[in-house]
Amino acid sequence: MNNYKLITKQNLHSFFDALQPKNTIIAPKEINKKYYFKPVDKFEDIALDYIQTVLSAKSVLFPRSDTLFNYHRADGDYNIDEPSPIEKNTIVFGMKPCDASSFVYLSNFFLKDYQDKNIKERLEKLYIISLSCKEADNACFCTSVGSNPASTKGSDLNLTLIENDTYYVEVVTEKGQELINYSADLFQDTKEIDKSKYIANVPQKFDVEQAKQNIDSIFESPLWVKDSLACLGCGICAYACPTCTCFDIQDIGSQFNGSRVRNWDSCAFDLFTKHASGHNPRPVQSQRWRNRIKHKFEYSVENLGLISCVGCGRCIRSCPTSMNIVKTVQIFQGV
Amino acid sequence: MSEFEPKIVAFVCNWCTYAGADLAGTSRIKYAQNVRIVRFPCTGRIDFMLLLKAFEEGADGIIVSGCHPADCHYTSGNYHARRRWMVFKDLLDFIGIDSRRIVFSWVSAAEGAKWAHLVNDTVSEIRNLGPMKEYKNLENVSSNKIGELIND
Amino acid sequence: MTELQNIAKKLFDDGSINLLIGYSNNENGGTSAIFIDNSADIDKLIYNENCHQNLMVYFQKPEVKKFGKLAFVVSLPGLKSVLEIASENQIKDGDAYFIAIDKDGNPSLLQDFHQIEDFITNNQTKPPMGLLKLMEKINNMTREERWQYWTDEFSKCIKCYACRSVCPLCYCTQCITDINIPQWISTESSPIGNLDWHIARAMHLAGRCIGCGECMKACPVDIPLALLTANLNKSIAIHFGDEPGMKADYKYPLSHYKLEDKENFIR
Ligand code: SF4
Ligand code: SF4
Ligand code: SF4
Ligand code: FES
Repeated sequence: MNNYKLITKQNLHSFFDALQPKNTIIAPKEINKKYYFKPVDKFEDIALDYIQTVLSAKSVLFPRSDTLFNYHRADGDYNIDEPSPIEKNTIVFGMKPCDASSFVYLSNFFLKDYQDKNIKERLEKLYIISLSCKEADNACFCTSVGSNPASTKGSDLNLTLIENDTYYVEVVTEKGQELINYSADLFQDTKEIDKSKYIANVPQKFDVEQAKQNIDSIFESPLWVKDSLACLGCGICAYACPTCTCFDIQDIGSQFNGSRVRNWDSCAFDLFTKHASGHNPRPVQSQRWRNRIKHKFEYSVENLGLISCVGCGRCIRSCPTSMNIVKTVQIFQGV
Repeated sequence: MSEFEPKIVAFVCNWCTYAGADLAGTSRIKYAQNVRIVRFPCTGRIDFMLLLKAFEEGADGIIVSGCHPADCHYTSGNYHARRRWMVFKDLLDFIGIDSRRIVFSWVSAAEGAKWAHLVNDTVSEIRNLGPMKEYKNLENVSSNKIGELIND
Repeated sequence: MTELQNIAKKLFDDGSINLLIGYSNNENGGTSAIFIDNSADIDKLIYNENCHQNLMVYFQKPEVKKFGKLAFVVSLPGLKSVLEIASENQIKDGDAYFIAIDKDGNPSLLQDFHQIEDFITNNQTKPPMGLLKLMEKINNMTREERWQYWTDEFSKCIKCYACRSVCPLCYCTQCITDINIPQWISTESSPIGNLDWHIARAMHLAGRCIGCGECMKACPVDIPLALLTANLNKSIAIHFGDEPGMKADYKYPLSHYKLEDKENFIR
């Protein structure tokens, strides 16, 4: 299903106003010249011309800390309650195509064999309106991982600004049509157009098939150490990343009452692989960096058939020591 | 509504204040019942994290007490603790936690009466300050409501 | 060849060092750390006002230490961290070479702690105005406002621990937040978990923070972290007259004491 429409910027505003009362809307907002996804209730608050947010929108599905259940002991027995993971339908308005495609990976990861209840319920109520990129920076590399700045993968609706004030709208899914139906008369039907001239030019930086093969075959190499000397082992890269899904389950509280929560975790932390015995199978940072790269391009392909990098460039922009996943892949392409 | 009864946690050293509190008991000096005593080897061992944990567990006020200067069983634990408290108090003030909720004192093994006064004074001061609502409003686990799922 | 590259080259040529940690231009138009293990790469070495990372964070990284003798390119904050680390017996005089960059960007080779002390005394700079203003603003708030301010700031924290990783003085092999028996700090980024983390982090850096501001620059959500440690340093200066990062034989104020320390707050 695919149909094509046009909407003016002014009407987009009205469209937002039509969606707003019944839905939670999450959109990029400018704070101190950086962009973050925030709940918004005014169209004016949305940043429509940003390049990328600091943190991804994965927390809509997979929050930093997610309560799985609360427990409470009374009369010699435990009562368990599972808080509802989502109340209203939620629309992410104006995320970039790379981020939208990350939701394809996320839903695969969380629903493939075991169906995670919280994620499933949230996914059912989640709507994604993506916005094709007019501009990119040199951290962007979606075109190197099989996507492009106008990709509709993972989106319900995709918007591309084609003239000063007109957006070209692709209705990608039924859910997208549902959104349109809030105020269908704001849209005008049109034919499929070639979006390529309206979007950013993102040069391809490596060949992903080649990269997969090379990374598959190299486990022991002095290059891992050489390439990761700067890495300090913080978790920014994983926490900013739209497809990093590692978590740690913790019980918070006492034997009488408390909660079981699922928190983000990062393979860059030394605690990540530390055993109760004290032994750590990945004792040094180069091995952790290797795991990150191999997970993105090898392990997740083995497990889910998908690479787990969408080329948003967040880890590159946010790393305090400028570790660069693209550079690493390029180094291994040269091997 | 019943009157607010402050919960006070007292972190005391084994050698002086704990013995002082014991003396208050054996001398049958009556004092407020609001205090729960936690015994430590020395004030030098009373880490600031313990004080934070007490607030998290619902304390409205905290007493920290040990041997008078020059009397520490380990010679200098209380001198080190004194410096740490000074700095910690300033940090709490800067963050906006009312540092009047933590009362520091020296109570020796012979000062049962001083202990009883200290507890009574602290209880009435904390009663005036009211419940430690700042901490009580903080949540242990984050909310699952969407919108709040996005850290802001 | 620049003066900086000359100094570096000489260190390699006479066999004094095995690895030099400095700055170079990176792929994204910024600058980042470069690890040079032979003099052929020396032409990549640069220094300009964008080179802010405090490279002394690497002094204890196992994979870096393995190289053998090290040299660091360091500006004022980096040198202060050298002295602070030295005062904590983590580095000895002669363990490494330091190519110091002065106020005007000129490099010079410093070999011992005395030279570093003199350099620091001669190159003092004022803390950034913005930080001082913010500190004043917070100090002028009411207690309730301060609490609101900090809980709002802390609520943004996602616990990525970048602030800890980039800090030259957060070198503990096991951080208190990674200890789970007992779990002092909950791994949750919940209101309590975040408050605990920020208080613990600040207290552990009290009187040790040398004010490089790297924690603040690394934080993805812009929490003004260095204010907490700066404020603690201010109270340490007031109470005990000490300042970290000025002398290699600095006595850490919280592990020393004076009989006459103030105690008017103790009953
Ligand atoms: S790559 Fe950068 S952000 Fe990621 S863990 Fe290493 S130092 Fe931290
Ligand atoms: S860098 Fe910022 S977000 Fe990360 S742990 Fe530190 S304060 Fe929290
Ligand atoms: S300013 Fe921040 S990074 Fe620098 S020494 Fe102080 S706490 Fe560490
Ligand atoms: S033993 Fe009482 S304070 Fe040290």
